[in-house]
Amino acid sequence: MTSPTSSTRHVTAERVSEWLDGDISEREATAVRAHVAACPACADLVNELRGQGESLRELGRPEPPATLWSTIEGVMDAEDARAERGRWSWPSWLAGALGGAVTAAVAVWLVVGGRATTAGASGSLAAVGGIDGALAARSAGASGTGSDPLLIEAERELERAAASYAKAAGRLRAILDREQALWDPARRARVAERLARLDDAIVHSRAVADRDPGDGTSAEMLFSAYRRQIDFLAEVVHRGSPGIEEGLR
Amino acid sequence: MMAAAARRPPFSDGAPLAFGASTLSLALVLIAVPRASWAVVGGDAGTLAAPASPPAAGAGPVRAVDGRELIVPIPGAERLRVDNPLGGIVVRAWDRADAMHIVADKQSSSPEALARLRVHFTAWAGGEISIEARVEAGGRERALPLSASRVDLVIEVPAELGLEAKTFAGDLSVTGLRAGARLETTGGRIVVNDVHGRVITHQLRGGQSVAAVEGDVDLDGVEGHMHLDRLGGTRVEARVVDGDIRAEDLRSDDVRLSATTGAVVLFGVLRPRAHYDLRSYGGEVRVAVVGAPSGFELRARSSVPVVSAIPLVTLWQKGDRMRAVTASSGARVTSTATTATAAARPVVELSSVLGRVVVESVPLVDRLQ
Repeated sequence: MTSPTSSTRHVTAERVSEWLDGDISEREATAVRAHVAACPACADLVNELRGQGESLRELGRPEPPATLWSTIEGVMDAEDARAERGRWSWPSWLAGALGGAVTAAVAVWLVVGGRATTAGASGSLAAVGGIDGALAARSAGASGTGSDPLLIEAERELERAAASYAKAAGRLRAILDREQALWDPARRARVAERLARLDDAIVHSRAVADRDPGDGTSAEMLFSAYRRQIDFLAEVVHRGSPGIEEGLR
Repeated sequence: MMAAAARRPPFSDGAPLAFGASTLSLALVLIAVPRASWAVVGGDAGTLAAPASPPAAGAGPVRAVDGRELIVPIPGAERLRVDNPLGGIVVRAWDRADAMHIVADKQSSSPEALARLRVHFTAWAGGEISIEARVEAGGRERALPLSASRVDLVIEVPAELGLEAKTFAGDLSVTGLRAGARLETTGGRIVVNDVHGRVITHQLRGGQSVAAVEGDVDLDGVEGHMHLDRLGGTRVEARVVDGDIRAEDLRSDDVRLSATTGAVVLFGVLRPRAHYDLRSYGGEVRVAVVGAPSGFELRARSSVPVVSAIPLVTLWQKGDRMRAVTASSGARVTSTATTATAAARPVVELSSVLGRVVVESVPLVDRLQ
């Protein structure tokens, strides 16, 4: 078993982000640069962050939230998990031993619970608009968790959280709809265009999550997309009518 | 918490723990700390073997429980990352500078599910410590939340250790740290107390209470109330969509509090040259100035007239926006005030699209009582 070292240990997404922003010392930047040059996974991360940064900059203010790191960090965690490393852990002394009675009970729960989850999420996501199709795909993908009761349980928790994000975004969207009735068409169009991009990001994240239901990393991506949308909506709502951008000064 | 305390031998026939080269030394000096009926002792990387005992009749719902408690030397550690999607995290400083104390409790509805909950401790060569709770599901370990199983972590650390901690539905509590904290949770409550260094939070729902922080504070939430108290960094920023923000005794020069549907309340002394920016879309925005106001400039936006218990002189007004100064300082502005005096006035920006904007004066004696 090899030990993790500074050269094999992946750079955190936060550190990469700080590096791209020029917010770290030259010494640290040199170390990050060297690692990225030798590590394909981190190079991909850098490219992804750069790409996301550029596309988000096109949206203008507000800038993407700092929560972006968590999404990328999840990917790196998965990488880390694959790497050999020393750890203290609970043992798997009963791993995989599920009784027939438990399995049967879960099968019943799957049918009932799965239907309830789909219905609940559908209602809240519909308010956001533009991603109903993705929701349908998501529901269909739930069967991909197979018969592992813990995966199904986890998927349900993640779906609840996604529904909460969607609900919050929906409430902000409703406020925005009222506010922008007072705006000029050009401003409405600009906001609509940016929201469409953020919706696309959610749809894309949904699709990624659907490919591996019950995967925490892809769920993090989806949550991050929702957070970006919520941040943007909140910012636009606070700016309010034309002219408020100049602030109160 | 434990409806059915597990009675089991501390070690049995499980496979030894695997430690990498960098952590081997740690494994050899693990210190035993008895914890109820289970423990890890010495360098024996033992495992728990016996399934949880069933509870006594009438003891309530069956809950399989298990736990571990470790004191781990962490020489040279600089940063702690804790990722627990399965439950809560409590991190507090203790008086040892070279070791950390970890208590991990797990519980589930069945021994089978319990056995699939894991907690990993890793000491990285670069000075980072990571503690991760994982569930074995779908053939591999995953960072996933569960509703019927949970792992709760209580960690005591050297105060100078930087912290990143993340939960899904579990609460996050941090006390006594001196190198800042970055906290993220989907549905847990965040509580921070007595921390030096920058504090950053991200939360979907659950509410946040942040007090006695000497460092910049940046709080982000979607649902839930925020309570800020005795913050002393250069900058304080808090944003929430659905929830109130109540801030007391802020000693920062740059304060930005923003709620979309909730109220924003600032209670305390206004500092010279400080800038306060309080905004809400639908809620009331209120400043309660403690003590005799030394004069401030008010920039307000409100669809209804600003309510102020402190006499104001309006400098400018257009639509729902206005600028004013307190009456005493207004007199100085129009007569003898110097530029330096004007620059020393705190600026208070208050904005509510639908709610009221209120300025109150609270006698210091009331505050002290």
